[in-house]
Amino acid sequence: MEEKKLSEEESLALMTAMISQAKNYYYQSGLGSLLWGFSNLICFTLYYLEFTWKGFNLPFSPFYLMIITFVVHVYYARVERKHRKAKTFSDEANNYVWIAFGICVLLLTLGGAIANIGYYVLPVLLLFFGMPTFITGCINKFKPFIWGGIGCWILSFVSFLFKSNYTLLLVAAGATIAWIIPGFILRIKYLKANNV
Amino acid sequence: MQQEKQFSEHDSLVLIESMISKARNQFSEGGHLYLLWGWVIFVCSAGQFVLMNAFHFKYHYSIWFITWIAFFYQMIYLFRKRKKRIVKTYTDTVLGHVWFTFIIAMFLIAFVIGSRLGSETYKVIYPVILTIYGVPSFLSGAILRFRPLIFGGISCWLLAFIASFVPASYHLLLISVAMVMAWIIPGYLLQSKFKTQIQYHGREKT
Repeated sequence: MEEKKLSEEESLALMTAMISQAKNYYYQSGLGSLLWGFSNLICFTLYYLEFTWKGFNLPFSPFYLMIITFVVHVYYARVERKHRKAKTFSDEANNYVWIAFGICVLLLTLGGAIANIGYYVLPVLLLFFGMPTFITGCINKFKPFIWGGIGCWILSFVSFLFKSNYTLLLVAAGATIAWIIPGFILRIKYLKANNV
Repeated sequence: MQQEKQFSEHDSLVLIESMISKARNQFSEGGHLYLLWGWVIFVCSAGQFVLMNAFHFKYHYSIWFITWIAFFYQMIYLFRKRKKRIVKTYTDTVLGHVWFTFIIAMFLIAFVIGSRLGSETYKVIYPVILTIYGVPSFLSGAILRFRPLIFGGISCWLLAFIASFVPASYHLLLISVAMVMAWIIPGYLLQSKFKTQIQYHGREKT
């Protein structure tokens, strides 16, 4: 296969993108992380309460709240894209990582429901939570995500070992350590970087 | 002290371009490990299915010990390759993180589910493994911009979904199919791409 020769202009554009990546800008606002973190925390906590607390019944499944989250996410992603000056290699890699995660979660919930694997959806979900979080942390050299990912794997390990209703709370805890805490740290860095 | 050569802008760009080009050629070498693991897991999954259903062999799962041999071979291969490598690109680093995550996920699934669920393992483990197989294949394909790997990853996910409708005793065969789609076919395509590149660069030099 013949390789494309880069022009001087293209080479400089590539270098600028690489330098921008090396400088490790935290242009990402952390909103996406906080949004999904809180959605999962609320949904799994409500589901736990519905499961364990007699008389606490919601007229709908708490997971329907995820639809609202998804709509808000799409809106914010569009706004963020408009403000972004350049798309770096790590932006692209991050996007693919989260697309893969979305597909895995969809498969797990759909396939798990059809195959009726029941409880084991939760530990596997925690395992999946950890994968994109850890990879994103490594790509962006952002330690809170790395620790969040490792935290999810530990919680997944624990929930595999001890089968109980508390696993719903472990998933909520997983969302907190993987997305909410790093999301706040990311948000603070973003606001500082933008002198807000 | 030896005086350093002053590079003009043009010289710098030529040097950078050659480094990028050298680094790019490294990707194609990955075909070797895709083929190794693709074939090893294909043989193990298909072999276990045959041992279990045709021979009713009690220790049918023991065939998976072959993966340990492949693992040690990979360690030696990577060690030697690292010595020869001229440049480590950012792509290599990102792919390293992706495959490291995959190994951790596989370890958790294989050891924890395996030891915890006992006889129930087979109902759960293979669809989850198929889903996880899809992740590094899809991501490697997307990052390297190599479509056969992207399709391979998507095939794994489709097979994981199909596994929901297929009896658990046939899940091993789905793993074999996934290996062909995700690692063996893309592995051969990567290998041929690499050979073509060597021929092209060889001709360019002469």
